[in-house]
Amino acid sequence: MRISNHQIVLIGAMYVINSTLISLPAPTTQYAKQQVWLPPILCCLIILFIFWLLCRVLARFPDQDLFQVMSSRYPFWGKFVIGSFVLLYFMILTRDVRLIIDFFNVTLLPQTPLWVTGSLTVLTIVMIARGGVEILGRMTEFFAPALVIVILLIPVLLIKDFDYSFLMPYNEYDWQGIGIATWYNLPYFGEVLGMALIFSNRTLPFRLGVRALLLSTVLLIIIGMCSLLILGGQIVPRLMYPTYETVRQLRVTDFLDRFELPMIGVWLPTMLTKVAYSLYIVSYGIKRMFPQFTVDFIVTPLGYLTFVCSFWFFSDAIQLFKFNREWPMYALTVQILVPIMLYLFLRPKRHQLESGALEKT
Amino acid sequence: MIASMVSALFISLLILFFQRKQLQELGRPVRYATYVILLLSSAIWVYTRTAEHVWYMTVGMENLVDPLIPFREDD
Repeated sequence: MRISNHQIVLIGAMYVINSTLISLPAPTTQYAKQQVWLPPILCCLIILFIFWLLCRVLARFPDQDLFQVMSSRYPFWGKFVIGSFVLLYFMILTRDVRLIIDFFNVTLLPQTPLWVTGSLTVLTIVMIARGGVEILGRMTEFFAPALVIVILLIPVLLIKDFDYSFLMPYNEYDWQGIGIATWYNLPYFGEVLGMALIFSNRTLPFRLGVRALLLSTVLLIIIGMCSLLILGGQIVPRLMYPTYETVRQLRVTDFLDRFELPMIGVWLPTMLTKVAYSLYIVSYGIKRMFPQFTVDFIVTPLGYLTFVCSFWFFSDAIQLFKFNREWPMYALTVQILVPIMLYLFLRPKRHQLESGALEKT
Repeated sequence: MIASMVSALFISLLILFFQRKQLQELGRPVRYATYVILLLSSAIWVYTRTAEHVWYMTVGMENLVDPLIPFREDD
């Protein structure tokens, strides 16, 4: 698998940023208020710890990803654990597909039927995921830097419109609210753990995960603070897509007063790549559970299942956002509890350890 | 109802057509598993398009438990 360090960092960062940009600015600002910068930092620290645990597990099994490790070490029970990750990423996949569909329906294409946007989205992600991880890595390397630059440009272009009174009272910390905002953010940060499922310890050293999480945290703080300073703590929680509304405030010149369109043009490919990663993870997990399947074969039927489930799982765009309240409870079971269990119990067999030690000597 | 069934059938046949070679190569278990996935997807599609009161999965999950009970008192 030829994936560069640069690509790994961008993949991890995009995995955290893309959905979070759309889903969470409103509840984060609602609960954390002017301390909107704090929940991403707390989530980053917690997920870094979990990521470190998974990297330790991967280090015990060189050149194997977590799915491989689980299916080879515990052929029966390992499949149940793989199944739990597959279900988690299938939920993430359907949620993200529905997120894209609803976002376009609300902001850009209100007259277009949902199934048209949905089918085009799913068709695209199936095509991308069929190419495998290397194609996904190249796509990420192509589009992600543009999104990073655009996010870094937002405060530069908006600084003249910042209202610093929205930061008041800046010394007041509502820890209960910050705790709830962290609860909302945590599973979105935890999605980055998916990298450990498809990459081995040689491709995915811990330091790259750290860089990816730090990059995504900084970018999310920038976006959150920009929304707060432009729209204010009272308006942001009442908007469906505060980031989009913030970006709409950008007017570069008279002839480019709808700067949000090129910005969506940069965000959408990275979001599609992220969804394609989820589809790849689900397909790869199924391949590890049932070796008769191949990844490039299973992605197409799974894409169809994702498409229909995105309509069955979520009733409408509002409910999709409301579900963020319950979602951490289900997601964190797999994202936190399972890695801790794997760290404690997933070790190589004794004779494998001994042969590994002999090889070293 | 008929339109949704026809569209589901169309998509399933399209997938089977484009993957016919792989279906032959990968053998019987994969073939049957694929039929099950396609059938399930088609059933969900027809159900969500035609049922009067769709039971949305995550709406059901929301009602199971309140995860923010520890934070509730001051809400």
